[in-house]
Amino acid sequence: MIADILGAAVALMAVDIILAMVLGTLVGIIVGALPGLTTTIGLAILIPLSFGLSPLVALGLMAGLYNGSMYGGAIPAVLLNIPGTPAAIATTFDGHPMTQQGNAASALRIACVSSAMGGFISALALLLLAPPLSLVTLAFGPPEYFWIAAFGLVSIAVLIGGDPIKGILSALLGLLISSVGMDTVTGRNRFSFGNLELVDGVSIVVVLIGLFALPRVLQMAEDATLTGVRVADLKIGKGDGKPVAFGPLIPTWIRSSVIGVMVGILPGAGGNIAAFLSYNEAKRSDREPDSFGKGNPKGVAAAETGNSSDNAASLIPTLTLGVPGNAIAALIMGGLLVHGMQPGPSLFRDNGEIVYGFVLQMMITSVLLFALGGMVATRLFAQVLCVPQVMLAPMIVALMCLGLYTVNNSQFELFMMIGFGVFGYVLTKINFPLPPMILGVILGGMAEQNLRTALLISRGDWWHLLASPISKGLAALVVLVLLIPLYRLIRSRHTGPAL
Amino acid sequence: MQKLVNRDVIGAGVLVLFSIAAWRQAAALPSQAGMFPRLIIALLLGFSLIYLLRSLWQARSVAQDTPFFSNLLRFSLALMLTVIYVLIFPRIGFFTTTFIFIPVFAFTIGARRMKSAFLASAVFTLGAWFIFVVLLDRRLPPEWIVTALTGGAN
Repeated sequence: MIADILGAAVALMAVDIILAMVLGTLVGIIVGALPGLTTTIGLAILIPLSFGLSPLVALGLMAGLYNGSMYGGAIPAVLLNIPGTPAAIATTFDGHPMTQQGNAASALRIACVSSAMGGFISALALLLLAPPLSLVTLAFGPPEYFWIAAFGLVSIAVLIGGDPIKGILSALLGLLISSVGMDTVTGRNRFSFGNLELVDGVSIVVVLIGLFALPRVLQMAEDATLTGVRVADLKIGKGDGKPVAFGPLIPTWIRSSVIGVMVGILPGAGGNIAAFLSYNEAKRSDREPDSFGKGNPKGVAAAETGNSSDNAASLIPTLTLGVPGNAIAALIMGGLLVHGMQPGPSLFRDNGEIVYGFVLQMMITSVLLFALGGMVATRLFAQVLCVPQVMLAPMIVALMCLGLYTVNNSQFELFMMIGFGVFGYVLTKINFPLPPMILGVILGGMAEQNLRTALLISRGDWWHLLASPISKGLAALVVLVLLIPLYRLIRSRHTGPAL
Repeated sequence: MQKLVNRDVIGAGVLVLFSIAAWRQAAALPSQAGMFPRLIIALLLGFSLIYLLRSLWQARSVAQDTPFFSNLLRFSLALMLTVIYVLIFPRIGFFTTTFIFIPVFAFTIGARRMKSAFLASAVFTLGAWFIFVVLLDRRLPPEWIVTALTGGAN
């Protein structure tokens, strides 16, 4: 492990990798700053574009984009009361009141430093917790892996979004998409309808871009916002560049980081939940809770530390078990798969230098925020808000097509991407969550392969899936998660509706 | 009269029909290759039926749907332009097509400052060319205009 970390640290000193981390962070801040663009859209576009780059260059871009976008979301949240990303909603509570009081520069500086702190602590947790956890999973066999995949799918399906039925249907559609193509055991084509382009199955990149990026473009086209934000509305201020007292924020950083890391590890939760919990906890434990919502710097610090400390921590189950806990982790997993790495227990053993390199990149790009998120840079990033969405939409289409076409030079995949885009648009309109579908596509192969291997070993005995205590425990967890909606229903019947 | 059909009922109905069609396809697969898809489709059908029944049950009490498209014309035009773009860029070349596509798309959905649209398009296209061709050495379809001007020496 130490040798791999040292090897990775040396590898990261290459100029192209450093440039990739810097570029990724800059692009991430811009993506986060633009309302309407999210980390998931940014990653969905980046993954095919990074195809063909060396793994550490590609992963450096992804790490930078992930961390950068979390801070980027704070820029419009503070300046305009518009969260750039869902994770920045809690930042508006105190960030924008600070702007109204003429303290926008201080609020942005606190947001930047807090994001960097959260991201760094989260990456440290990933570095310390993932390797031992991956060792534990080496004891798993096919039944355990089947249940791990089932647990990952069920948790995301049930816990993301407000409707478990729609979540489960979305996951099942993803699993069905994953079964398209040639069956690796029998060589029989499934659902390919004689089309040779479908024999290898549906590429994860096609599904990612189609589901996450194109629906947003179509929405932008419908909204047709002709103007960006007016420069005059970006009141960062000239005279409020006074030094910020960071000392009183240290307890908030520590508390919010712990919350963010814990939320990150849990499946189904995300940066927005981490930010809300951190904010509430900061408010609850403060001597002056009434000052929150009126421009309290601790509110900005708690929200930004919370949403950023979720980042790397959410990758702990992804890298060790191969089970992403949220949409962004699913995309990162897609990125690892595109670059030939299979997340799961063998990842640290087979690709130690690259995976530790990625963990270190998550750390370094957090630190880069200190340098790249400074006031001059923030003023420049804020100008991005002036770009009208009518111009942004066709540029996103061009980037999506360019990235996807250069992967396989296949026009068929471009049309398939459009098909998935329209499908994703329709599903969004009927409130279907899309992350469970992506997870279904990613985990389908793992679930099927391990289910069939387990049944092959036991000569078709389904009880073999519950033979070991670990399998029983994991199966119990799956049932438990499935019962959560029922519990919520019963509780709401007893207590009445929330509103 | 109370509304019994909303977008959830339609969505659930489509899913039920899709599950039945998928089952018919999967039924033709040999037992080993078809086991997992059949398992998934059976679950899909089961949950789709639950979704359909629930949607029908709730249809009376659910408030009127907001319009499905906020602007159907712009949605259709954007989709049509994207399809045309995907159809022609492998033939004409990525950069030529993109340079024209960006302002045309923007104009179609409402932008009127064409000078700045073409300027933004030129900057974007040049940037994409520099990053993907010069720096990353990506293989892209030959530019028709360059081929025509240089007589195939592209």
